[in-house]
Amino acid sequence: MTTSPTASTSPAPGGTATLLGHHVLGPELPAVPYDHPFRAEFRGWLQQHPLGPEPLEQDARIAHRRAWHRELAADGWVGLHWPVEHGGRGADALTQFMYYEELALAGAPEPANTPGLILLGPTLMVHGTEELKKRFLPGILAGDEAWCQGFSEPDAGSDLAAVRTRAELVGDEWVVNGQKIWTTFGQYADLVFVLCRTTPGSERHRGLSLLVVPADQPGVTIRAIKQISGDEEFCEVFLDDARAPRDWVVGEVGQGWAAAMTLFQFERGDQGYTDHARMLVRLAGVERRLAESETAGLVSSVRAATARARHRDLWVRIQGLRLLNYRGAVLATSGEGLGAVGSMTNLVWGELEKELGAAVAEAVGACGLRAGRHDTHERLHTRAASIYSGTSEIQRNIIAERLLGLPR
Amino acid sequence: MITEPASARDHAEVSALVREVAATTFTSEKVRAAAATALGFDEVAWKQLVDLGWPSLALDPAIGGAGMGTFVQCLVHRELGARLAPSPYLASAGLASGALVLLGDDRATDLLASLGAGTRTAALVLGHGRGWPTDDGPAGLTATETPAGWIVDGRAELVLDGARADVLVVVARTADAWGLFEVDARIGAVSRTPAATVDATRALADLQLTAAPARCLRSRPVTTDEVSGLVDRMAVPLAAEMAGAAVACLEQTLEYLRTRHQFGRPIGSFQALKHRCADVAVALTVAQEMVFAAAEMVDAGDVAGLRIAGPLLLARSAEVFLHAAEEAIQLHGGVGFTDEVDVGLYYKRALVDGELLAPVADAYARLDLVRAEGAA
Repeated sequence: MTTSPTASTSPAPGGTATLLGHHVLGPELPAVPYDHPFRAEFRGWLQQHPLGPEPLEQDARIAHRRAWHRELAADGWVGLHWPVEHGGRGADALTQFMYYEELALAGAPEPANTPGLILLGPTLMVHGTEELKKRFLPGILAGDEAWCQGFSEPDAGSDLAAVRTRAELVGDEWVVNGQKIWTTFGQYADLVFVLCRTTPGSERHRGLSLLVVPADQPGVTIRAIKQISGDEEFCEVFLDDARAPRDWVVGEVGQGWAAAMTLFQFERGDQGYTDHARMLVRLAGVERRLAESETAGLVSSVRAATARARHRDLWVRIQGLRLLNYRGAVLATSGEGLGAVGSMTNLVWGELEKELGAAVAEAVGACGLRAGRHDTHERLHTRAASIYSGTSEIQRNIIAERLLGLPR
Repeated sequence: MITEPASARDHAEVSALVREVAATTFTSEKVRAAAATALGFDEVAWKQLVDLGWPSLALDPAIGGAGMGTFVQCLVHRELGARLAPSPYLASAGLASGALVLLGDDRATDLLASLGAGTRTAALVLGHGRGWPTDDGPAGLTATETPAGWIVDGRAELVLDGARADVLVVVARTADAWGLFEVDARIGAVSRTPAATVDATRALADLQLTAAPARCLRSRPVTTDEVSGLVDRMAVPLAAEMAGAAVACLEQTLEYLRTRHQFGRPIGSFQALKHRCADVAVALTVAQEMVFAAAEMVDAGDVAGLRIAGPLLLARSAEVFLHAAEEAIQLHGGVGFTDEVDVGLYYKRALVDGELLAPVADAYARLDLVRAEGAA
């Protein structure tokens, strides 16, 4: 999810963008060859659509990504995996794999509404009614309506089944009360996906429903949480008699857990969340920067040697992530779910992300301490990666119990 | 259960059959017994593999092969690795045959056919030693053309199956490049000394060749780049064996963690142990994907891809195998360091496999070099 300050895209207005070569990605993989027509087509488009570097300040950064989302969407370059009937291209997961790789080689950020595109939209397609699909999917695709996910609560983090937020039907509306936390970019959202208890007195996985709640109403208060990086990526969402139309339930009433699990499968499976290509591009930038830093005397030769050993280790591990993503894409293309393998991908990604963030800052030596720099920011920012989409420890539990069959 | 590599699923039946045969042919008792014999392998089991046609799985049907490609052969390597099979299969069908396919011309056909048919076995002897060769690096084996034909001189240490193979397939330094040669292993000019190592399931030997008559298996000289390509190519079957062994090692550990009780519960329910197993499982899964993606590259003739994938998968498979074996010993607790259970055998195999072709550090150095070339 982290956007690279290191990728090189020419910002020259009206000019063309410079795309990195495929060698940055590593060896060619059989089902996604570098001379694939899809790659050529998308590279052609990307070359004609250069974009400037990402701003560091968060509001500006989000605006930058939104503008980019709209630019992509205008020519049909978002939601490629969505079915044609919902405005996508019905592209398979292997095409998505190439899409993310090319996007990264262009130094372009992911579309702003990635959560909507890869999590909420597809979950709606699986569990939503026709009316809900018609109402919401076009806005997600175009980038006109931003979504956020109201799952975790102060006392229901890794143990999500402990959610206490409740909703009761009053007339034609759900009245929702409770508190959500760790809601990514809640402050920019128009709509909130809320997992809540609709059966009074129910426990654990039973009696939950997934509701769509409009963010702009008196019953919804969204407060950003300031992170160690200075970003405010996550929010607290307070629901005090918040209202949602009776029909805005995703899946059956009382079957919210199933819908939530579907969403998690997308989260653990989609490479948009575990983007190896963006990492490889960032790492190539780090390697370049280190050489410059050494020449400029910002880092000693001893420190540079240590960093290079670390970079090689990171490159090898990102190649592993690339193969896991490739594997996921091959499985998805043949119509199979990822199961616990999604947890492997997530675990590898989260741990790598932190180390890569640290390597970015380390490559400029003590300069990586100065405020207001992308590299300084990235080291702090990435500490969240092994926590926010399921901690590494929870992923290891899932792997051990579901894949390896160890007892609970 | 560790998941199958995505690309291996088209071969699920072959894979299941191979697994079953390997599991019954190479039980722990049989492996331990065979490793203790003078030859160091189970001749009956080898004949069985030959009857099944496994040595010629990847060979061209024109010379009696099954034409199924390196990918399918790697499924065999994986299962033989999983059972620590003491067998000529890796040396003869994997390394020597692979070298003949990659570098030999029509002069190599007869030898290749006989290795495929199992009428002879071969050992591969790399004249540059371990790792990847350089143009001006030292060479332990040199070949000289004399009026009476080629002769090979020099020494090679810790050669897999060096003492029991019928034939040596030798890559030796010539005056201006490298050459590929066949040397009869049973003649007086070849002195072979079995080398006992920590791992009795791999038969290694030290070889001394003194003006050994050799038959040249390729008319054109072999370039240093081609020898490097051979090392990349050889990494694939070896890594398949390491990946298979690592998976088996983890599976045995998981079984133990499910059944061994302490404090009134199976010890596998403790998170400290679970998490270690999860980390091994992730590393293994990735290593297996690397191996089989590379096997696909071999079958597609993607030499450029293998230049990176070869050292990468060799290093990762060796690291992962060793780590899986080390963890297996630790997670078995007290019995883990006894000879009663097999995990110690896997640990010793990991030590040997990690040195056979190239040590991890050299593989990474090679990777750095190749990547730098790619970026330039």
